[in-house]
Amino acid sequence: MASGAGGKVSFKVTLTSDPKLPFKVFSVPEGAPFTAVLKFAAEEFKVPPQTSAIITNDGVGINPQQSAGNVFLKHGSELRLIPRDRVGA
Amino acid sequence: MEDMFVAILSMLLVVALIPLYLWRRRQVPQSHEQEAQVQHRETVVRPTGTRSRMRRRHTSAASTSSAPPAAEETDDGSDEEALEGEYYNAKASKKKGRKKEERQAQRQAEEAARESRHTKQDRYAEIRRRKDEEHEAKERLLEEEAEARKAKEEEAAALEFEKWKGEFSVDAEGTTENEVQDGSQGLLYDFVEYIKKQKCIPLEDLAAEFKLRTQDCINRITSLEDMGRLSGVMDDRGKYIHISYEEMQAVADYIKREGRVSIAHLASKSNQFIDLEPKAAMITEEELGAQDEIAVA
Repeated sequence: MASGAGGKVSFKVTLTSDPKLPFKVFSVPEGAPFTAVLKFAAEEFKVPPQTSAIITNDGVGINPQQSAGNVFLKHGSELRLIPRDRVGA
Repeated sequence: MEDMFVAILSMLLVVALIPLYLWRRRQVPQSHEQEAQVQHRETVVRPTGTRSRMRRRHTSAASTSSAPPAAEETDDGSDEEALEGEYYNAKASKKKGRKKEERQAQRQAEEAARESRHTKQDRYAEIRRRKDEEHEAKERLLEEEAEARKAKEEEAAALEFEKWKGEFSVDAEGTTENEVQDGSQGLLYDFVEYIKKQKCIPLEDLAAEFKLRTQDCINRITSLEDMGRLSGVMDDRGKYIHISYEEMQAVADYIKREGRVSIAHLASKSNQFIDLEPKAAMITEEELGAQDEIAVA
């Protein structure tokens, strides 16, 4: 799942609000702001980006105001996309 | 002495006549007002005249001796009564006029005060309204600025997103397998059957296959052995070897037959009884063996 070659990182994002738990693997540049990754992932899953958040599999919230490389380093590549009213629940 | 008496009597008469006259005046106010207007001019002279006359009367009353004092006094009294009437008319009308003027002045003053109060209130209301308008205008300005700022930020974010979007790609997609949700009994059966088929399996591989932790796998196997659904041995290199009851029975029978057997000999013999090949291969051999038997038969 993880690859740092070519300045890109991969994230496997699972949409947990869907019972089928669909997932997508995104390959993004390391330096991309994670807000853009979040917006891209939300658009791919056809959910509104303004009301979505990305958390780890352990339920730890991810601050999107950092680069994708930082997020990959701190939290790994297995992430979850949740509706924003579920943050902290 | 008598003179004194007469004087006192005449004074009493005059005092008694005054309220009578006032009462009469109240009954006919209009005619008296007219008279008062005419006599108003004469009042300047009259009061002093009447006062002096009254003084003269007192002295004359004091000095006169006998004579019917009442008759004399009544004559004098009627004249004086008229004079007094006129005097009091004038005085009352003057007083009334003064009161009227005072009331008018008071009313005017009140009106003026009311007007000034109204103008003051209007001015304050005007000032307050202007201040409210300014405040609202300021708030509106602030809101517009905030909205403009927000729109600018959103625009900047959108631009940045467009800039990076081109470099994003979706490598893979799918749905997470939900075997656990579909049927847990089936999973356990699969677990057992998988172990039986594999015969000798590293525990880590088993854990990866069923998405469990290695320790959890060990616990499961121990529990299944207690339940009697599995039988086998776990070696110290992290493998589990499934040995069926039949194989164990075969080893037991051999030991009973031999009676006394060394471990090395038993181990070499057990390799014959216990097959460590994966069961898929075993099934193929059994099928072949069955076919041979049929052929022989």
